This record gives sequence, structure tokens and C-alpha cells, in this order.
Amino acid sequence: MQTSEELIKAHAKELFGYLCRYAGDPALAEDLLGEVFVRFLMQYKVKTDPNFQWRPWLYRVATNLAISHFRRQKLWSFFGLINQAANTSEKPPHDVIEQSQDGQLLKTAIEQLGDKFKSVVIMRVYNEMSYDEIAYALKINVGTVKSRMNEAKARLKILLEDKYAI
Amino acid sequence: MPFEPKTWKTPEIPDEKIEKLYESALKESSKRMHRKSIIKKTGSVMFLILIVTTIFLARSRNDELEIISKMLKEESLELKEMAYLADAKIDSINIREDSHEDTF
Repeated sequence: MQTSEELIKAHAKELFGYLCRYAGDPALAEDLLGEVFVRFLMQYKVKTDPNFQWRPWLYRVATNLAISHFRRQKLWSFFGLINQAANTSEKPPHDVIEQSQDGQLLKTAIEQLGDKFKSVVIMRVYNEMSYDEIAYALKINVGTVKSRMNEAKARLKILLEDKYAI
Repeated sequence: MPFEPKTWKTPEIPDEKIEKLYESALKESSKRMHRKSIIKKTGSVMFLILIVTTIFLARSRNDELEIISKMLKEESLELKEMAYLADAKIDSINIREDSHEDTF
């Protein structure tokens, strides 16, 4: 059985990549990753099953944390408690990455898909997760994952028709 | 041009940062676990207090009801006695009236 530290080190980088893509902000992804670690450590002490699949569980927690963050942010901005512009303007220099034109185009297109499809596409294409793992992570059926993936592909095809042959 | 998803790049998180995040998560998780256990203990103590209070109140109410039922029983006995005496009096009056009629 892997120790908690080994598990975290094995999945931290891919989780950070997922959160960066899902949340669209490396600084926010770092905060969320820290919170994922806390939840993981609390759960690790309780879970006794040595065959427990931590990878999809970590993605589930990461996705739920990101969703609740955006929900809270929406609520706060509705009541005028935070300024959204101030929230995204300043980033540490190491977090700024130069995106190629194609990368930027793809990023914009995937962000346009909406949360439901975005998470499926990122998990499948960028994090190479199986349909079963995605289904567990998003708490949906495998069939739903497949249909969302197909729908996402169709939408991306429309969005990127001029550039790529998908 | 073929579809190339890897063109969307994300920054890499350095190992030192992961280490730092892990250490602070360890501290935070033990803090939260401690807080959780305190909340659990407080909750169970409060639940116990609630049960004991409910039993105590039910018992005292039961005692009250017993006293009331005793009083009612005593009162009913008194009433029965009074009714018996009244009956006896009525009977004696009837007997007297009958004997009075006989003399005429």
C-alpha cells in the first residue's frame, strides 16, 4: 500500500494540470490543489481498503472544489463583495506561460464548451483517464461520459472547423 | 492540419512547491481532524444530556400523574361513601313514611 506522501507526489502534477485547465488560473489551481491535499489526508486516515482507487477520487474532489469555488465567487460577485477583475489580474511570474496561437485557440474553444463537457474533455484528452475513472470522478454513468465526449467532439468540430480536421 | 490537443500547455508545478503544499496540508488536516473530534465529542455529550433530561422530565411527570390518580381514587372513595350514606338515609325515610301510612 502506498503512503499518503507517495500518492500525493504521484498525482500532484497531473492534478495541477487538470485544475489549471479547468479553473483557467494557475494561482487558483495551486490553492485548490492545497485543499485537495487536505481533504485527501483526512480521508486517507479513515479509508481502510488497500485497493481503493485514489486517482479518480482525487479528481472528484478537485472538480467539486473548483465548482463550489466558482459558485461562491458568483454569489459574492452578485452581492458585490468581490471584484472579479482584481481576482484574476495578478499572477506570479512563473505561472504565466506563453501559449501558442493554436493552444490559445484550443483553450478558448474548450472553455466555450461549458463545465459539463470541459471536465470530460480535459480528463480524457489531457489526463488520459479511462471512461470508468471519469464516471467515478464526475459521479455519472459511463454511458453519460461517452455521450458527453461525443457531444464535446461535435461541438469542438464546429468551433475549430476552419483550423483542424477533427 | 491534424488535431493536436497538446498545444494547450499549462505551467508545471515545482517539486518544492508540492512538498510545501503537502506539509501545510498535513498541519491543516490534523487541525481539522482535531476540531472534528471535538465537535463529535461535544455532540455526543449534548445528546446524552438531552436523553437524561427527557427521562428525568418524563419520570417527574409520571410521579405527578401518580399523585393525581391517587387523589382521584381517594375522592372517588369518599364520593362512594357519601352516596352510600345518602342511599341509607333515603331508605330510612321511605321506611318511616311507610310505617306512618300503615297507622292510618
